[in-house]
Amino acid sequence: MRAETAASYLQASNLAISIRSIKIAEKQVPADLELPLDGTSKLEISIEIDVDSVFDTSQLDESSEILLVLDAICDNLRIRETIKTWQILPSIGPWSNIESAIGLLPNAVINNGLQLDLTLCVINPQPKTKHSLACDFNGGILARYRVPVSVRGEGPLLPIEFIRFDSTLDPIWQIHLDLENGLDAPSSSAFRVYISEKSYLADGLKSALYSNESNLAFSILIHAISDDVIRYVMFDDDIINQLIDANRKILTLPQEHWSKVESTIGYLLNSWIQQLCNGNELGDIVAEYRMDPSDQVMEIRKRFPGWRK
Amino acid sequence: MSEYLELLVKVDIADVLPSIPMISEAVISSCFRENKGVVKEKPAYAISECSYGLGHIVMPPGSRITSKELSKLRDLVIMDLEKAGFPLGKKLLRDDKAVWDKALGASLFDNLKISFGQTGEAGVWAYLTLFVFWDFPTWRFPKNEEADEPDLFDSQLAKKSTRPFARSAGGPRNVLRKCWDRAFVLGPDLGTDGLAANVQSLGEDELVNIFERTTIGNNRYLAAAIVETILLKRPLRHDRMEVVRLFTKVVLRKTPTTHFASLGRQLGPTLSDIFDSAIG
Repeated sequence: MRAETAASYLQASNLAISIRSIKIAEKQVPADLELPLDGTSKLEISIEIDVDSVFDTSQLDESSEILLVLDAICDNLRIRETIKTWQILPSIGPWSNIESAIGLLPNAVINNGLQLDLTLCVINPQPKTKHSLACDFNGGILARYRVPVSVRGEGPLLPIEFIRFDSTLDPIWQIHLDLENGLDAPSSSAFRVYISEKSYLADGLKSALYSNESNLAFSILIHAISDDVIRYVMFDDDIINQLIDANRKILTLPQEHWSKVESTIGYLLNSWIQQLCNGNELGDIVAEYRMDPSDQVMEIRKRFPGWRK
Repeated sequence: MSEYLELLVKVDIADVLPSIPMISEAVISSCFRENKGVVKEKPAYAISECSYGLGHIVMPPGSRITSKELSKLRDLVIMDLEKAGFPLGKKLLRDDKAVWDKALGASLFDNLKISFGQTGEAGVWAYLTLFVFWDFPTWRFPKNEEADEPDLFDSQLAKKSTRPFARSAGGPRNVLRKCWDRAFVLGPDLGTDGLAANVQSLGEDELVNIFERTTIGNNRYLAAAIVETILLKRPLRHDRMEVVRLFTKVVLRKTPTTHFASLGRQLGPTLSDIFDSAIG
């Protein structure tokens, strides 16, 4: 008997939907995605639906119209939008989308916490039998499959290599950051991170993505790299002066200047320093200062006198 | 496929807009403590034509809006508010506030060139509020009207969202962001465009019922359809508040089982049926 005060109907099994693959920017999800804030990335998705199972478990007649709706949800940007809708026709064997390319997603949506929501719903529902508990209202959701898309990780800007260090230093864990000279050097080759292959850190980084071990190892790595970058900047007055000069003139500099080109080490240094001072402990220390690397570096030097050159 | 798909997936890289500076929570607290949340004159830290202002301002890398453009933005918004009958600082009566919000939202929607990626950045809205539109929170929410709220300017207290601090900080209740969000989702006319001239747009409490329910407020397609249904069924504002509250609650309860966006042209009639059965 159908309850009158709440929606009461038979849904399909979640097992009826299977995602063969999701690719964003041609990278398989889940994966580390490191995307610039602006611009767009290609979204591809391959889905398979067990149509027989959907009609069987929901007790809907095959004359009912079944839709598969793909929504993008990003609450930070006030986005809950339908990206694509497929009509699922009764067929022999499973249904799958022939064309996997969906379109272009703004990177801002991905970077602000994207959730892809696949929903099977019914329009003009027709029950198989007269007194079944089949859904009897338009838009009724039969099954839902949610895929969170994460942008955590270092991505291609920080290629990590596991090597054997010829060193007698503490072997528990050690990293070595190989920074090229020159602020216009390409960041992908400028930041090369070498990690002792026998270390606990290497084991953690190699463990299953998003496991506790992996999260902890990445957290340690990121802090260690931040430390090294800040040391690198503070120990080199020439770099500090170049950063200050570029920041002062940023509005008048040509677009191809290293401070405006995302793939350069100078751009990364600027943005890392800004991030470091934005809302975290060091940011609070320098809160009353204007955004200028020299002020920040001076404050950091005061805070950590041992780091002075 | 939704008409909003155009907005969502067709972002032309050539259209990427210059970034707006940001400030951190520490700076917001510092500014707020300095003036106890009441700003009627230009503070020392605010922008000028040749400065982004004083304080730890985070400059996003890449091309950036100039301080001159930000000053011009302020002038344009103030001019639009004046045209709507609100010269700068004019005391807002109770009925004026919804009109002021609507005019501000429409003006920001037209004049503020903000990149899609920055619309969700609290630091950006806080910077715009404290450094560019420094007097707007006090203009819209004069402190004496919220005198029953304790320690309005202390960011460390609980119930952050109930204090005027929330009008300056960059969250959804920020004085600028709230109005921009509404214009962005419903259009600058707040959904009255194309309806009869006597239709009164939704008031503050009615809009809160829609926008502070994330599942509804973030779904532009559904939110716009809900507003249209309400305006068609109850075009006049008196006695509408309770109806809006009830209707939005009923729609919200149906969202786990009904995919409203899949209804296409049937969405309007479906919402109309829900309204009739819920309100009678």
